[in-house]
Amino acid sequence: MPLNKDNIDVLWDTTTPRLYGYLVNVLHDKSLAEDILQTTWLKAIQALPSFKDRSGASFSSWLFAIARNECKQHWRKAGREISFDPEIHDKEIIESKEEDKIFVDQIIKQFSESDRELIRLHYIADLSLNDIAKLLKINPVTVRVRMHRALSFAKLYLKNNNNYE
Amino acid sequence: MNKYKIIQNRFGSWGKNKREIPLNNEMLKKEVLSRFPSDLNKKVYPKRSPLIWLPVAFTAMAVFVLLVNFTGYSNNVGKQNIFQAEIGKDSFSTSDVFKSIIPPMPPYGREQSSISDTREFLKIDYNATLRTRNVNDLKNKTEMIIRGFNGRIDSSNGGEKNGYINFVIPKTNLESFRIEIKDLVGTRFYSEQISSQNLLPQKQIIEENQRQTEIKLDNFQSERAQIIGNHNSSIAFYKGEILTKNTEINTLNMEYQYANIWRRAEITNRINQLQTEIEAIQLKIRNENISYQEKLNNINSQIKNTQENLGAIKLQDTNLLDNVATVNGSIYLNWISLWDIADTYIPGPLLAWVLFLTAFASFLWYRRSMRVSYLDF
Repeated sequence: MPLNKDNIDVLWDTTTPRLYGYLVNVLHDKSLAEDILQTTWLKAIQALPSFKDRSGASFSSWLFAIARNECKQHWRKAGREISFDPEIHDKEIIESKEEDKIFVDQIIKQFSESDRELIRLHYIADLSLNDIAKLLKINPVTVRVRMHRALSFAKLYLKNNNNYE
Repeated sequence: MNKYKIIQNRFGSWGKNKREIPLNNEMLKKEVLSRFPSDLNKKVYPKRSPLIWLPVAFTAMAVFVLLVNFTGYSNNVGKQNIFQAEIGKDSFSTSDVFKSIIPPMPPYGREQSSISDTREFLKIDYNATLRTRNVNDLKNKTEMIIRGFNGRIDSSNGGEKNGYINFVIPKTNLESFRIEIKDLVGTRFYSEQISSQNLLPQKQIIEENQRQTEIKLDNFQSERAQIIGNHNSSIAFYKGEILTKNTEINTLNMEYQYANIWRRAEITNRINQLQTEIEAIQLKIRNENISYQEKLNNINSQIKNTQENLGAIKLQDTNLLDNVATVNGSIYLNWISLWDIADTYIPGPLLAWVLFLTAFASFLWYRRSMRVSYLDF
């Protein structure tokens, strides 16, 4: 799809829910997520000519790369990653959970941060495993193996908690 | 349904539920799209960060320091080789213990020594430099060690930054003393220079002086004996002459009682003549005694001086042997900074390492900033 003003409009509509959902899940702070969403888009728009010269990378994965860099910059400035505290952050994030969502949230808490990032990028950002490999600069096979392990762990966790439908 | 699929579905459902749009989505969208560039075909080059010059500059400085250091080292090695070659031409043999030592001592009096004389009277000088963070403490420990090895401290001086100790220890204790001193600070902070010199020429000079003096003393004693002998024979001769003349006088006195008047006059004249001759002989005896006494005093004085010289030479000999049996030493204590300590442990110039590390760190910084600014993945 050629990148022009009309297409960007469509891209915004298709990408923003995934990007914003990803940022909220990472940052646990909706207002901060909005700030970073805006910054990410502005930087993407600004650097769009350089993206046009690049071949083989999808726009959405490029956008997520920018967003990840923005998050890192934010944490660097903040000194460290602020852990999620429901008292401080948006309460509605955990208030309106369905049963499935609560179980998945419980499971991914057991994962390492790198595995959590895989899950977010695959299921929230809807990126393919190859795009995730490019984004994280690791081997695609490694991404597959880690994803498989994470899901196997989740399966075991759910089995132990007797939660199969 | 496959359990693995169930899990995937649950995660998929979870991911979809997580997707949402921000509350002021339209406003954000409008804001972002208003910044959309008019000409997308315009080439945009990433802004070159000035930080790229930092690693380059630091690396260049490090290489420069290395080159300067290497050049200085080469010159020093060259000079040292020449110095060692010159030393090698003149060096004289030392024991195995001191093989690693360059003797900077002048070859005193070596030209007079005969090669056939292979005796060794090695005088050893020991100099050491210790580097420490606590000069006073190390000085006290060093003094205790010197005294523990039956040594004598001749002078010492200590301050916060520097100190020195001059001392003497028995030669037999030198090896164990060196090990003890080295263990105080470790080999990296210890340097020593031990020089040895064969005092054979001095020993030979002393021996030659002693031999000459003993010959001289023998000569004086022979001369003295000869003076005494000559004197005794002269006195005996004069006493014999007086005895003869007194015998003649006695004979003439006995004849005088029975002689006529003419004969008496002759006897009287003869007796007077004999008495005059006796007086002359007695005068000669007195003169001989005076001359003898003078000669004897003179020769005695010379003998006494020669004996004193001989005593002094023997004392010199004893001193030389004592000197050979001891080691003169001096230990310098220098304060060392942390930078110098690091420099001691790191091969090559420390400054170059610091510059290389700084270059590497600035390169990493540059890479990070570039990664952020290029938005690359």
